[in-house]
Order: sequence, then structure tokens, then C-alpha cells
Amino acid sequence: MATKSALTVYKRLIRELSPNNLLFSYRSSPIYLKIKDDYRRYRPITSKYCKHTDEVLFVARTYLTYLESIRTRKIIHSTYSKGEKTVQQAANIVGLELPKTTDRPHLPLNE
Amino acid sequence: MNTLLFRRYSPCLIRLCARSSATNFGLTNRDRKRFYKQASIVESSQSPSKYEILLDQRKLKTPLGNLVTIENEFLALALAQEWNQQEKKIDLSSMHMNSLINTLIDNPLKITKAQLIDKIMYFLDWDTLLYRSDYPEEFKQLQIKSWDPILSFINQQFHTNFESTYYLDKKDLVKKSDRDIIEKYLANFDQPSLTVVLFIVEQLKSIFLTICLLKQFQSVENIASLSRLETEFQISRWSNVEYHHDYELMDTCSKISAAYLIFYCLNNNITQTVLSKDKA
Repeated sequence: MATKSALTVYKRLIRELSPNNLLFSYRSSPIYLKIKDDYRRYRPITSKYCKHTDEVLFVARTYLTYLESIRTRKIIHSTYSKGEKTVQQAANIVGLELPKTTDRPHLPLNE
Repeated sequence: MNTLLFRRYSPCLIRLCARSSATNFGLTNRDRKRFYKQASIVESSQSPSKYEILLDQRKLKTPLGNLVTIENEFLALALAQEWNQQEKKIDLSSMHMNSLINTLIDNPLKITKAQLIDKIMYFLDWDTLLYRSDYPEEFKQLQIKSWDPILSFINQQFHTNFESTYYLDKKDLVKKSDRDIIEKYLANFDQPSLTVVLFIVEQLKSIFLTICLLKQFQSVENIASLSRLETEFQISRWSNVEYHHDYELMDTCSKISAAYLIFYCLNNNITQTVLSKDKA
């Protein structure tokens, strides 16, 4: 992924801010207003405030990286920390199923 | 309720439990469920222009009991967002900004600025970018392609002459004059910023990559993958193991991006200066 543009960063930030993929719930987070205001304020040439180009955009991209990596780490942790798979689950990964056996009591060998 | 459970134990244990819940909600001890509905920021009454975090009307404190006050509004909002993002259980291991800010305010190991600079300079003599491997040939080309631009950027910024080597027994690869230049650059920052820089250096194992990040030369993902170049090369040869490689990459990315955000907010209080310029 090459450097993301300001608009894509903004869209992905909003998606990260809405918990559990509920759209429009990002409005309740206090940082949303700050991001919106900062985007409006720094949209004209950033050199007006003596900052080199894309400096504030770098901070926005870094914050997006932070939120996304935290979420991905949680997903990886929850996926792979369940312990070993049973034979049934391991077969299910490739789409196979264990054959059905009829349960009969074992023959009494030493009686 | 605590007194009923611990009636048989010594009274000092009761005092210890009561004290821990008074300072930071007893968070360090066990899994706590999310006990607040909303985390928000508020301007502090004692020192105006500093922000504090409120968890449902209760002020947030560090593990040592100090009040968390932050000068930069964006940083305070990001902290509140971190607390808001906890769903049912509070997962302190994923809240890197919170733990870094706690360390900055508390300074529990009582480290001085000179000790911090020493610790950071320790990473310079054996910097990853300087010691290269010349076998296999593809990896050698990959190192030259990825790491040489970083070295030339550093040399250009600081007027130094860092060179890489393929041997492990070369003495004095880093000249004293170059070392002093980097040390002087680091001495410009104040102690909280240096704590953050040390944290980043320990994650990346390289001072040059840290300086590139601080000067915004490359994005955070690029820096993280540059620091684990050999791992990436092996992944391209022998394929990726998601629960180890990706987990490690996400861990590094999240830690250094949180640290960089704190560093930027400590050293560039843009909101304040911009407002004063507009009003004047």
C-alpha cells in the first residue's frame, strides 16, 4: 500500500472509531470532533503555519496505524489462543468430516 | 466487602487492598470489567490549559496515585478514546498510550536524563543498519536497497559519515565525532521525550530508524518492516506464520505508533501556538 491520501485516512479513521461496526456511532466518541476540526484547519497549505508538507497528515496516518494494529492484534490473539484443535476440528479446516461409527460396547476379553 | 473476606488475615493486608483501589481502581491486580459508561476529557481546575481524563466523573490516576494531566488536547482525546474502546473487559496490555503516559508522569525507576541518553547511545554502536550479511545474494541486495537510503538520509541530516560493514570484527565503526553529533541531537529533548525515544529504540533495535521516524522520513509501517528486514526476507522464502509473524508485526506497529504520537504531542504543541497567532 503506497502512502494513503488524506480522504482515505479520514474514512478509515471513522471506521476505526465506530465500535463493533455500528455505523454512525463514531459521533459519540469525543475524538471525532477534534479530527474533523483538524482536517478542516489544516486543509489549506500547511506551510502557512511553518510546517513542511504532510506533517499533520503523517500524524493522522500514524494514529490510523495505531488503531488498526491494536484491532488486528486482538483478532489474531483471539483466533489463535484457543489451544489445540480436536481431530474433528482439524478435519473441518480442509472440509472433511470424520466417518460416523456405531458405538457398541467392547467385547469383554478378560473376564 | 473486603473486610468481610479478609477478616482472618492481618490488618495490613486490608489496608493494602483499600489503598490500591483508591489510587487506580485496582486495575493492576486482576481482570476488571468495564465499570464506566463514558470516558471524556475536561479542563483541569488547578492548572488551566491542561486536560484531565474522566471515567464517568472519576478522575483517572496513574498506578502511583498521581493525577493524569496532559497539555495537548489531541493526546488527551486519544487517551479517552483508548478507554472508550475497551468493550467488556479492560485490556491493559493493549493500551500502550495509557501505559506510556503513566510511565512518563510517574517515572517509577527514577531515571535521570543522562542515564537515558546513555541507554539510547548504547544502541548506536551495534545498530542493525550498520552490520550487514552478504549471504544470500538476494538478501544482500535487499539490505542495500532498503537500508542505504536511510543511512544516506541520516548522513545528510547530521553531516556524519556512517558506513555499513559486512564483517563482525571491525573495530570503531562508529567514529567518536559522529557519536558526539548524535548525542548532542538527543540532548536537545527533555526527559519525557527521551523516555519515549528509548521505548521506540528498544522496539526497533536501531537508532537510525528511530531518528527517521522522528523526522517523519518514512511511514510507521515501513519503519516497522525495515526493522525486521531479515524476518521479512525469510517470510518471502518460507511463507508467513500468522500467529507469530503478524502478531509480532502488529505488536511492534502499535507500540511505536503510540510512542510516536506521544512524542509528537509533547514536542509540537500546535494547537496552542496556532490559536495565539490567530488571536494576535
